[in-house]
Amino acid sequence: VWLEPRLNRAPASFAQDPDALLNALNSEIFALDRLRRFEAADLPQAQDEFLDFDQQVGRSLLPELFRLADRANIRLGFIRVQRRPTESGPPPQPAALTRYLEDLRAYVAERGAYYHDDYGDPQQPLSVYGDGDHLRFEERLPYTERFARAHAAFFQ
Amino acid sequence: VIFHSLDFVAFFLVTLAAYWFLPLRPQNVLLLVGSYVFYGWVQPWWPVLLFATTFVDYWAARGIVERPARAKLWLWLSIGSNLGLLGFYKYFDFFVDNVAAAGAAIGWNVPHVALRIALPAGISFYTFQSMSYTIDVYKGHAPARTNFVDVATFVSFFPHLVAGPIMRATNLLPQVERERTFDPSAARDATVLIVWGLFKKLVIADNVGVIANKVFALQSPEFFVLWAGVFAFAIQIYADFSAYTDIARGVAKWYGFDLIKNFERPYLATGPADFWHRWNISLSTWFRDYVYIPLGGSRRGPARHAANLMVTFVVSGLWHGASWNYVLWGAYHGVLLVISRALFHAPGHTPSPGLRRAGMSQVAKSLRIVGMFILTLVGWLIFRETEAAQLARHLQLSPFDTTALGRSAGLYLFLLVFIYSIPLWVHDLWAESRWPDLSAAIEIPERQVRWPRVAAQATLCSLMFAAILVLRSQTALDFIYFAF
Repeated sequence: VWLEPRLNRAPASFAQDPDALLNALNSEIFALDRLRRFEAADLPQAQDEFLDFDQQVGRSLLPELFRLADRANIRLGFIRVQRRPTESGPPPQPAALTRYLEDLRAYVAERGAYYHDDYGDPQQPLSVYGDGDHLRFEERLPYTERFARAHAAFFQ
Repeated sequence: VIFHSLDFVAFFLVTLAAYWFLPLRPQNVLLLVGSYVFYGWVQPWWPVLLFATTFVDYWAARGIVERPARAKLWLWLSIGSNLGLLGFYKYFDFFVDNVAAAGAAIGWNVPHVALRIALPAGISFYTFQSMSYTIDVYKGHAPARTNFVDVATFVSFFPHLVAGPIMRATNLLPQVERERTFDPSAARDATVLIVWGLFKKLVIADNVGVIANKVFALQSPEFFVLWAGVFAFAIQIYADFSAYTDIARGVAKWYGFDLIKNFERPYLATGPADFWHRWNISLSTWFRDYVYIPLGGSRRGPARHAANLMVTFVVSGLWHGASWNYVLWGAYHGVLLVISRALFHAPGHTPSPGLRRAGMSQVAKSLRIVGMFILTLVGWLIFRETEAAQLARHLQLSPFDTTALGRSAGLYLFLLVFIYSIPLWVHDLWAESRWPDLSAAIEIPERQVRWPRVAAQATLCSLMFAAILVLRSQTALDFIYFAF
């Protein structure tokens, strides 16, 4: 809690502005649009033909998840957390991915599961993010409290 | 079951508590049953494969001794079944993919039949260990055992089942067969090994592994960022794999067994041959004894010697995984060895006293260590990068074609990895100064209780345990060698 942030910051002290270097690491060196296509979570870099939900779902574990949950009488909930946004808004998301997510939402809802997408949440601007896609330590508790309130119905 | 899980802690404590109340035979039965439970915890069908391997090799070894006229047939049955099992689960898809790609390249439409089944954990390790038993029996190095439980315990012994070290029948089977007594001093050493292993895994390997993963997820990393990532991977794979070995050795010691050391300060190697005396020792000696020497070793002239080295290292690379980058990595180390042998071991060449390991000056030795470490890093780049086009791009990067941010980011990442790896370097430098000769680096438990040593061990363990609590990575990564 106290040592790790200091340890991670110490090597940046050679720079004139350590904070600027650490921010640049997240927002430039490891920016989403610099990831390899296959590595990009949320598939923002994927080619449009890959973002065909009906074609992909049969190759995924999703049907098996539903089968197992159904057998065990468990109601599933799916939360899509928001990756690191830009300074001006949520992370870029191509139209094909938006369609893909709508199909996913419909698929999940049709099977009686809960679905929520954090994308574009105004309470999750860039300032609440620490390293990469992770929240800053001091933002974890407020996020968890908001999360519990927002999804209270599902957990009851 | 993975070592750093509560499941394993419970499993370890329960089996250990029962173990020391039992006589030898029930102890072995308990170890056998425990090992199968350990192995089948995630996938209940995996123990079936383990049993099949053991069953075939047990009867093959007996067949070799009881029907000597057909000894070769029994030997090939063992080798064929082990390699067949490994080939089916590990290399079938790779083979089919490459045949299909080769067919497509010349216009043939080869039907693509892929299995897409998960690789059973540890299969590369236990098939090699089990196969070495029948080979040793065939060569007369070990007698064929008639007690199936002992052989099955030897093959399945859980501490090293999933990621080695690969033990030989000549070493581990006699330990299975003899009476074992609880030794408090060995238990103390074992605890230090376990805590040191957990520290290396959770604090060093997982923290720097996150950095390596991020760098290797980039499409076009700059020179300094890329090589900081390669440095991170070098530290990760060493800390991760040696951590598994240390925990395995520590756990085995608690049951009264001694597993061999698998690592001897590999990044302090002064050359390619020295590196392979220090890295994954159980695997490199396995390939030396069962592939390189049967091929003729160095006995059939320089050209054949070079070819034998190359074959051994290419096969060793392929053992790591069904992917061309591992083959290339093996070939790269084979070439390094061939070149170093040609330069320093050519006929008539007498190494100058300054270049001999024992008599090498500190400056020369340091330069050789740095040089070998850089060559090792190039090898890890080949090992880690799975895309050929990306590898070619990485190898063409220039340190002069970078941005100020790229240089600063690379330096930051390098320093961060170095800070996390300081305990590893301190340990290795200390061990190197204490045991400069690798052959002397055999741990002998001290029977006599020396309280300063015990106090030092307790302090070290407490510090490492505190560091695990405070500094463990928030991203838990699998042991790298689970994938092999």
